[in-house]
Amino acid sequence: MLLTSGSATAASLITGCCGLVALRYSWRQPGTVQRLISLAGWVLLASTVYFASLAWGSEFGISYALAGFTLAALVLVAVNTERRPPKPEGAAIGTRISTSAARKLLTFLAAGPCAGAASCQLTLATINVLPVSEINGMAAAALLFPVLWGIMAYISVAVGRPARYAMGFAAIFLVSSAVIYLPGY
Amino acid sequence: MRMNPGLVKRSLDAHSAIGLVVGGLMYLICLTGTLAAIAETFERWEQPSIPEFSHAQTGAVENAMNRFRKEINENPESIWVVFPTAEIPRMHVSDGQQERFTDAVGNLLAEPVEGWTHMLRELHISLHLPHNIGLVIVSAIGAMLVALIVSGLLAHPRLFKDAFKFRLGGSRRLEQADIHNRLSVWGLPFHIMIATTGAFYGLVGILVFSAATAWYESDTNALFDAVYGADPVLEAPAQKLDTARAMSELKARHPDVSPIYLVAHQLDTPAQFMEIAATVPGRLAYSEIYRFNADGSYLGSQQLTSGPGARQFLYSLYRVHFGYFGGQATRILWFILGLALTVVSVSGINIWLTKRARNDWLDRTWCGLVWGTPLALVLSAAGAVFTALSPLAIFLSVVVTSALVAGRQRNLPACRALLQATCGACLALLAIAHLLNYPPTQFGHYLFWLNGGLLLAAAILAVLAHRSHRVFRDPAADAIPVTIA
Repeated sequence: MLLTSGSATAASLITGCCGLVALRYSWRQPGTVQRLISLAGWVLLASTVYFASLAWGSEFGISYALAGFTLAALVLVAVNTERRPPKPEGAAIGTRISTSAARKLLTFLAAGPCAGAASCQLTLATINVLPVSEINGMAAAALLFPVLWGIMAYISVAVGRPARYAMGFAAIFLVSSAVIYLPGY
Repeated sequence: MRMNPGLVKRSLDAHSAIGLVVGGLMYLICLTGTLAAIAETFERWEQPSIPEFSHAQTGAVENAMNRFRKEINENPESIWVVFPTAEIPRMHVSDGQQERFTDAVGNLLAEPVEGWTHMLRELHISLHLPHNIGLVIVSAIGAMLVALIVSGLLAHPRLFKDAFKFRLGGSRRLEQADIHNRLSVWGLPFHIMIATTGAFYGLVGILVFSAATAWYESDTNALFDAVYGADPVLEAPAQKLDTARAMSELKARHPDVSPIYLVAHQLDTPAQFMEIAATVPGRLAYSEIYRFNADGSYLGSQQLTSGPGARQFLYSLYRVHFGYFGGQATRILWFILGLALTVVSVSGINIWLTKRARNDWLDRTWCGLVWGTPLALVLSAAGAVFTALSPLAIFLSVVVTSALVAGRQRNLPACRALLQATCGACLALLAIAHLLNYPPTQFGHYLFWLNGGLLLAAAILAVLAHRSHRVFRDPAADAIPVTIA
């Protein structure tokens, strides 16, 4: 059945709303039926993307479907607002960052410039060895670089051994640079 | 979702640490980025006396170019003529250095001002630092947003259980946590897109430098040509440009596209040629670029919408990042989502401050920064529109003053209420002054909508200020204080 743009738009709105309502209805409810309703909700949300693509083309459609999903979900969250009387705050909850200034600086350097440089070279080394075209490689690198940097920064801060990670990132930088710059690779 | 408690704790600590380091800058970048979604309308609002029209008249392009060469620059290397669009129904001509608006027949008018909207964009793109340095810093913040997303997800084992939970009032820490978590989780697709596309613009320079050194003998232009397509290399007798023929050729071959600008390169040389950039319906690519000889005959396109998928993808990042597609509705949608991300940035720091439970100069200085920044944007906009004062100087001095003054106050809710009320009052005065000086019936109906939006924002700030004031007067008040900072 061929849908018109208007009916595809309507279908995307209906499936999106129904999908979110299904998720909200099954939220925190035990039981097989509720799990099935939750699954149906996700299926409906996936079909929203399909209908939105039919209505506006894949590029606009996916963008609108994802943005609309966020807005509609936040509306449901607002509807679920639980109002409470003001309550005085309790005692402090473990916010003291008990590390030295030197350690803080080392963590910053490891997660920042070291991870950044390593992720740049690692990204290029990866696309260099993969069987991809120049253009596809550069596009993949453009996306991969910030994601890799973010992940490396998170790991170095979470594990909490900044000196070790700084040296590790330096090693990654050197090895990747060798792969990129030395002939024979 | 059962997750290792140790992983959750380490992720939460990492999330806090990274958030504290970048939170302030991220707030500024998110707030200016939110406003940048409707920057085109602010450009018009800032300089409302420029004539607006939907289509240039026949011969306007040639007239604009000729007048520019006669009155401004006789021998430019390139000249751009930017056409009216639905978002900016104005025409202008430029050689890349100097620029003039034109009327519908191509006669030169005033220069575009580099005022408040320019300041806003520069704050967002490079924090008004030396361009390349600022660009890299802002893009690094984008990479750190990825780190925050990853750590935030791993620190949130109750992701699905708390999916629709929203507690207003009660413990301020839990209230801020719910605001932070609900907005950040449900906004995940948008936030991932903003982080990666935003990081692209600064980090691509580093990538290109490294890749060009490795594979293109340090020739970055060669790399860009490989990715985006090279300029044509022509050899023909120098001749007068036939822009009218180029425009009619484009209309005949691609009647569905909408031209956004025409540029003539390497003027008065054997290599001169023209390009017309045009948006393609339903496509996120910034434009397709169609090429023409100087006599207006068609050469081909740069294949930005029909060539390699990677090229189309890279050329789409700008529009998808700023929401510059699909008309005003998309821009408003991106504005709302950007505002949500701004609130996520602020609420993250608020959570840490409430956990500290010290209520000292740091809390009040942060409040001063959070509410002083929109106040600074309002006052710098007023300065740009109604005076000759530098908007950047006004912005910086108001932000610093707000932070310093707030830091010395004794009562946080009172300080917050004062800043919110002041910002709301200034916003209302700005909108009213603009409406009186530039009546929409004379200067364009879009001014109703934009100034109306400013008045709505002023009303929201007044409500927030009232609620903050009620907390100050009676901390046990029944009404629940809805606070952002």
